[in-house]
This record gives sequence, structure tokens and C-alpha cells, in this order.
Amino acid sequence: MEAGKTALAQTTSLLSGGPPVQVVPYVPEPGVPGLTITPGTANPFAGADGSGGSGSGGTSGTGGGTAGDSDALGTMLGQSWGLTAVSNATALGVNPSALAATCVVESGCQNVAGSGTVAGAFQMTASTYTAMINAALAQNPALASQIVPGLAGQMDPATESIAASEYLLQGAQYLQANGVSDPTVLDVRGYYNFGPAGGAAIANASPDATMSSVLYNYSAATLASNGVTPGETVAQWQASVAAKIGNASTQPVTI
Amino acid sequence: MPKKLSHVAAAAICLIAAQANAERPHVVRVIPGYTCKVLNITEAQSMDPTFHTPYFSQPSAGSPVVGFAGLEVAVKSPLHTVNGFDEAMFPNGGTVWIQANLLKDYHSVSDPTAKCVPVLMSNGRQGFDFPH
Repeated sequence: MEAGKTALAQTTSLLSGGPPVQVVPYVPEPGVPGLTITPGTANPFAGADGSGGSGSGGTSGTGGGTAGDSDALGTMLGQSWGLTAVSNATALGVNPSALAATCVVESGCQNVAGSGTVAGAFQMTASTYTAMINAALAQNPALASQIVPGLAGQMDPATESIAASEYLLQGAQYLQANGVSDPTVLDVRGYYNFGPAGGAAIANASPDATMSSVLYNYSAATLASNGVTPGETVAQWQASVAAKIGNASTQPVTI
Repeated sequence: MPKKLSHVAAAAICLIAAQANAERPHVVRVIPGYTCKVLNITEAQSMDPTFHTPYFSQPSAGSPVVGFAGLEVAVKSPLHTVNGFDEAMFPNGGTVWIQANLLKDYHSVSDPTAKCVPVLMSNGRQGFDFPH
């Protein structure tokens, strides 16, 4: 929980000669390499177009909402495991609405099988699930007492919610390490779908760019399996995701 | 009644999409003196949540890690390579260094006519445009 709080405390000022000044986490994040941020000088771009360079996050550019209630959260709380999932997200410093938005988009918050090793309400691959559940338990060992052990946990929504929360937390931290000061649920959707480098690429792309041009090394088949249609732009993809997520899309991922 | 409800739902979706569009930054101009390279990684590596490519504060692997790269990297043009590291621009405009052997020229496998250009976005950040 504390690691998430320290990440949220990062300043939004824009600098050159180095990224923004950062509060040094006192609880290391398992699975994420350590970062040393070297402060720089004032950003030469600030105000270049008269906007003043607000430092807003990602392509969605909001970095702005307030963590809290949402339509997605209502959907997740309608499940028998919803309240446990909210508790798990909070224990890891993740906005429960961000977790809820993930299951809404991935499965409608239904515990279903997917293609390949993808499974569960949060539709994680087996390898990602394993990496994230291990990282989450290393961060918060108290969660170990309530999980279904092994890969069987992937099909237990309450257990998979722990891994999904960790993945969202790491996604927010990765985007922060790529200069997105306060990643929103919509920003981190790119990370959840397309991995660390892909998520950062979407956050830094022109909204008019095609998803297939930004995700240069993704095959058309992989893009299609992730719901990207031929010629779809970043803005169109984000709008379609935002329409599914609803009012959680502009909320922050961490609390 | 079902038809009326579907109109309400469609209006809500349009409102959400409009809000998202209204808040989205746009391209202001191309950034001179920089060119676009990409990480030389596979699709599987891109999807691996543990696969991170670091930016360093200096042209040395022993210098502090100051961030992680996205798929595209804005490198100095002409290339400024020191000790096997290329000088690059962090999204906030700052100077960072990345291992040169981790980069390659831009080419999209599923959008082969696209080009990649480092640009200044309206939120003051460095981004990328992909004209055809």
C-alpha cells in the first residue's frame, strides 16, 4: 500500500537534463527494477504552444480524476467475490474502480476461460498471473492466507484480483517511469493489453496515429485478438475502451 | 422501450468518447534534431511485464536509471553515440542515454507505409507522430 502512495506523490513539474524530482520509495516494489531519478532544469518545451506544459499524463492527457465510486465498481461489487476484490486492491494501493474497470472490459466480471493460457475474470495469461501473484505476495505477505495456490488461482476471481491489482500498480509505476505523472485507468489499459513498452508507446503517441503504426512489432493477428481493428487510431481505440469503462476511465490507478 | 434505451446508451457512450477526445493532447510540431528509433524486441518481449529497457542519466550502464523506454525512442540526429550509448530525449524533454545495440530503425510489421517522427505535443511533452 505504501509503495503505491509514494508513487502517487511524484511531482508533475517538467524538467530537462533529467526527469521530474521524485520522492524515493521507502518500500521497494517487488518485480520492478529500482530507479534513481536525477532532477534536471526547467523543461524547454513548457509553454512552447502557450499551454504551459501542464504535465498531464499520457495520451488521454487528463491525469486527473479522483479515485472512488464508478459504474464499473458497481458491476464488480455485484459479484460474490467483488467485496474481497475491493479489499485486495486497496491492500496493494490500487484504486478499486481501476480494478473493476479491468474486469468489466476483460470479461464483464465473469469468471470465464480465454484463448491459450488466458483465463479468469481478469483474463491474465498464466505467465503474467504467476509473475504478478508472486510480486503481490512479496509486497503484502498477509494476502497469502486467502489465495487459491498455484495456477488454480487464476480461475478464482478473488485470487486473480490480487494479481490483476499488482499488474495495474506496476503499470502505473512503469508509465510514471516513462514520464506520465499520474496515470489514469485509460492510460494503464494500454499497458494491461500490450505490455510495458507498448503501454508507454500508446501514452506518448499522437491520437491520430494508427494503433498498428505505434505498436510496430505487433502482428495484425495479435492486434485483432486484442480488439484492434485495421486502421483504428489511438483516439478511436481509447474512445472505445473509455466507452466500456465508463466514468472510471479518468480516475487514477493508485490511491 | 428497448429502442429508447439503446438511444440513451448510445448517447452516453458518445458523451464519454467526446469527453475523452476533448482532453486529449494534439501534435504541435516536429522536433528538429531528433529521429525515431524503436526497441529491437519481439512481440513476446513487448508483452512480458518483467521486460524493461532502461534509460540512463549518463552514457554508462553504471549511471543511475532515470526511466524506462516505450517502443519508440527519440534519438539525437545525427546520432550521438558515446561508449555504446545513444543520446535520446525523455518524454519531458530531458536528455537520457540508451544502449545503442537495443535499437533499430522504425518499421511497422502491420502498417508498413507508416513513418515515425518525434513531435512536441500540446501538453508540453515529447511524443511521436506516425504519418503515412
